[in-house]
Amino acid sequence: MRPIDNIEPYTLRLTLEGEDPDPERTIATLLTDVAERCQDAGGPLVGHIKCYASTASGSFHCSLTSLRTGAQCSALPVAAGPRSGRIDVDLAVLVYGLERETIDGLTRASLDALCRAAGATWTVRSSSAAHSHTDSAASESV
Amino acid sequence: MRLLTFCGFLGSGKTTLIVALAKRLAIAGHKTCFIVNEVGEVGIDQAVMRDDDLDVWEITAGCICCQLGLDLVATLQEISERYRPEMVIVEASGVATPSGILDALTHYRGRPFVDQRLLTVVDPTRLQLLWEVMTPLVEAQIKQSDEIVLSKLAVASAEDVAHAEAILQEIDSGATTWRIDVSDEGRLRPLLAHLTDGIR
Repeated sequence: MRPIDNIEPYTLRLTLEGEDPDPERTIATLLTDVAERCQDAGGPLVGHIKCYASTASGSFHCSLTSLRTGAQCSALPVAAGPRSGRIDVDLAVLVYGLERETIDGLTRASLDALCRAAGATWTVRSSSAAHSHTDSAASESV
Repeated sequence: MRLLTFCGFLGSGKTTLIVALAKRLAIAGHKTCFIVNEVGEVGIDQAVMRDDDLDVWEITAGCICCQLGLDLVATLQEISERYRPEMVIVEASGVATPSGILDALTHYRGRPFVDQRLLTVVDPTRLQLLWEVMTPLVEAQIKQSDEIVLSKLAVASAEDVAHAEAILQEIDSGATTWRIDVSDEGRLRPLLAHLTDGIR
């Protein structure tokens, strides 16, 4: 593998809706599939694919740094109640060597496939592919 | 006010380590604020930290070692003046170089730092690959750090750790190396004691 240095950070805020008894597994599948698609598209190195997911039952996070070690998710609280309905997902795909628009297309294709298989739907809340961003945002939450 | 800056490549375990340390700092009664920098527009790590009720400021959509250096300085000054914590922990983005952060901090005019340290978190399961393809960044992150934290020991193989230690030896930063897994209290405790030594 030759040295690489270009990364175009891609982020997507989306909502998944449908019956889902295992949100952690769904999100782990999504991250793995996005990583595989990026690799198949010629992305030489996964930097970090990660997300924060919120459900009515609580929140969890999921992370993937390589297909070898796979996606690792924190668990929803055990006594969190029924696991179905809506998952709000903040997703970051940090992959070297692919343009942001390419990552956007691969991520959307992955979401389409995931939802088709699960009988679910997904909608975008916001995407970093929709505009270029040159200034910063510093915010506080105490 | 002590300033601890955690560097390390994307996915090296910075957030996981910081959250583990933060819980113990809170139990010990240390007033600590956290600044998280992410290159993406949407912050994921800050959301994870807020789940543990940490006081988190986020700087997103760029890197504090270059274009967002002054955002870091402004955030630090605000924290130092408004909240007067004993410690501020900065999580740099995974693509940050320590020297860029140190350059930015020369513009800081808030309460003086009693101590300022730079720690680089290294994932032994990936260091060999990263050393081959991201050499300048990985070398800078390791060489310019005061301390190195070899993370994820519970999932790394003995071979991974041996390769990682050989690379650290090759880079020869002279930094102290801590071998950590966040699930191993016995390994976390000495690092925590070291990082909090002398504050108060």
